[in-house]
Amino acid sequence: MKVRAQGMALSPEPGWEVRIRVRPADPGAADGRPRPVLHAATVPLPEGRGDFGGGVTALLGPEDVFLTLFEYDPAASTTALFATRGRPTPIPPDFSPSQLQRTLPGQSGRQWFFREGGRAFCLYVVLGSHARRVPLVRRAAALLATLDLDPGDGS
Amino acid sequence: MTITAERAPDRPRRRRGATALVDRLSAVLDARTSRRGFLARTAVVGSALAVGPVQYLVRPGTAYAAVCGDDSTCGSGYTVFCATILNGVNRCPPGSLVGGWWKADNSGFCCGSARYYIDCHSFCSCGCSGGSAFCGEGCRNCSCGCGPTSSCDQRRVCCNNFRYGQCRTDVACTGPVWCRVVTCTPPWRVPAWACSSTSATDNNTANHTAPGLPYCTAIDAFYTAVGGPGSFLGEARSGEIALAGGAYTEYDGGSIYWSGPSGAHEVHGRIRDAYRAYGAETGPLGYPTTSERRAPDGQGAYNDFNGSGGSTITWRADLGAHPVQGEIHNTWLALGALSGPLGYPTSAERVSADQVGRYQGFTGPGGDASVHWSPATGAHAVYGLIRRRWLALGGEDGVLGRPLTSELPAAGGGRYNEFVGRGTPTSPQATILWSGATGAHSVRGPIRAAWLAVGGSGGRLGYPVAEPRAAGRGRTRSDFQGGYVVLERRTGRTTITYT
Repeated sequence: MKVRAQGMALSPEPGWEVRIRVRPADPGAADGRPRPVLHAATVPLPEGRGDFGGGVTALLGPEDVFLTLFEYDPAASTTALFATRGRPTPIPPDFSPSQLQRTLPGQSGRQWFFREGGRAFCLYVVLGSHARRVPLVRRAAALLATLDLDPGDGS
Repeated sequence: MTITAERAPDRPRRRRGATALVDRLSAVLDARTSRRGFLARTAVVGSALAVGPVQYLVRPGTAYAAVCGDDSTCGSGYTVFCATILNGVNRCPPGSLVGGWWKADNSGFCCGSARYYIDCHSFCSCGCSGGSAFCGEGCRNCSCGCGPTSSCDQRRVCCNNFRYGQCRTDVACTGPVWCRVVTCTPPWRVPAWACSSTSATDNNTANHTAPGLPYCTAIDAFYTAVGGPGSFLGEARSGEIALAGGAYTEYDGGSIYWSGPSGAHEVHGRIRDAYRAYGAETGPLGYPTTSERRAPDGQGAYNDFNGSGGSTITWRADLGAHPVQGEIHNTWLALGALSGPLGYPTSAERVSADQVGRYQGFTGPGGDASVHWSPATGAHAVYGLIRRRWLALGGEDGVLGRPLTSELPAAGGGRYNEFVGRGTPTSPQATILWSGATGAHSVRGPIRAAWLAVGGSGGRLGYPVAEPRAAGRGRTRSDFQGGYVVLERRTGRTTITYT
């Protein structure tokens, strides 16, 4: 079943939970437009999860994976941080236990900033076990292979 | 590293009750020696107990977790607060840049508003490789470790290679998160941080804290209200520092002082320099009762203070900053302060030649005003042409002595001041009168008494038109609009002649 919203779509295999939600803009923000965030995990996604996995990554077991696709203001797509064109294809050597928003024992992670279709994104992947990164990255990559991103409208 | 930032002893919040509860239950705590032992070792026991004494007593778990709050160990995997590693200073360390931010909504730390967490990343002295956004360990300005063991914030320092990515996106390669700053001000309103408003949220971190971090104090609420680090005050240079009866925090562009009676107000620039030169809150000026305000003429500024029964420091670019205090201040206020005839002080209060009184100069009309005080006379203002005449006659040390009134309206449309003369404060013996037609001249002694007896400036003699002068042997004469008065100095007899 394909999950589609906000110009993002994924077709997860059984065992994945995928949610796309709109992050409300902060009151008074110059860029008042809400932006989406996509969450996918092999554990149930708690309602009170943070945009980069707060409240989720502590639930991961050694066979689990969590990923976030977080969209920024399109103006960011012209900056150095988002200079990479197109989405990444994760491979096991990319991952490290020190590349986590919250460092939890045994886990491993990696983030990529990139632009695609005039949109700016960060992909952040957390593996429940660094030791088992080869099959876990394969599992994440298989899911990401189904990712569709619509071109942005420039706003 | 030990945390040395102090906290205000008398918080404008609910902690007094909590602290009292802790005091009452100290006997119970004594029985729980392992926790007491921990508490004795920690440098932050006071503030930690104030935050959650009941939680500490009733919640199972380690003493550290109960006292120090959520996810505060190194093993929690989170990054330390900058205030913990910078002696209570809640700002990014030198050699770092802001790499991104997230927020927790409805935070008690921000009095119910969103609390923002700002990630400070080390700069890199080399580039990144392999498509990574993070440089290697050899070219960072910090090393991976844990927060100080004596602290309630032992989270990771300079370890986590993760970036939120809304700030300084012109820099693609950074080191790990060195530490994090918290603020109640949206980070995109702080130009120095160069953040976008792209919002990220993680309410799971809402209760993260550290000793020295603001917790909805009056100072922090004030700081947020004026724009926090995005305001002219800029970023913090100190934690909140306890003072006798209050507290203050230093910022790049000024200071915020708080006391219960005065509230929280900022002081900055030359006015702050003058305030410090006079001993700040321990000096005669006390605590500020206003923030800096623009002067009515638009050319200067001022702060009011609660010391000496009320005081003010004014500033104007060509005059500098000077305090006005005590009874001189009261007189200045009664005459309209900066909107009145005295205008700005041109100096600080000075000691009179007799070492008893005090006086202070003011810009006045044409740069010519002063207020003079002594215990016997009180404080009174002299300005304009009356003051020039008075100074010509010797000022405080001359025949007229100190003023006994400020300038008052005289009958007939002129103005006058009374002076002690050769009399006493309860029996003035000299007056200077001014009118547009006659100028300013003194009337004194028996001639003054005779002149007053026939109606003074409102009588037939009217205003003096010249200073008293010798008029033959043993005689003094004062000329008026309507005649003259001659004094026989030996007898004290006066004769009025109308012309």
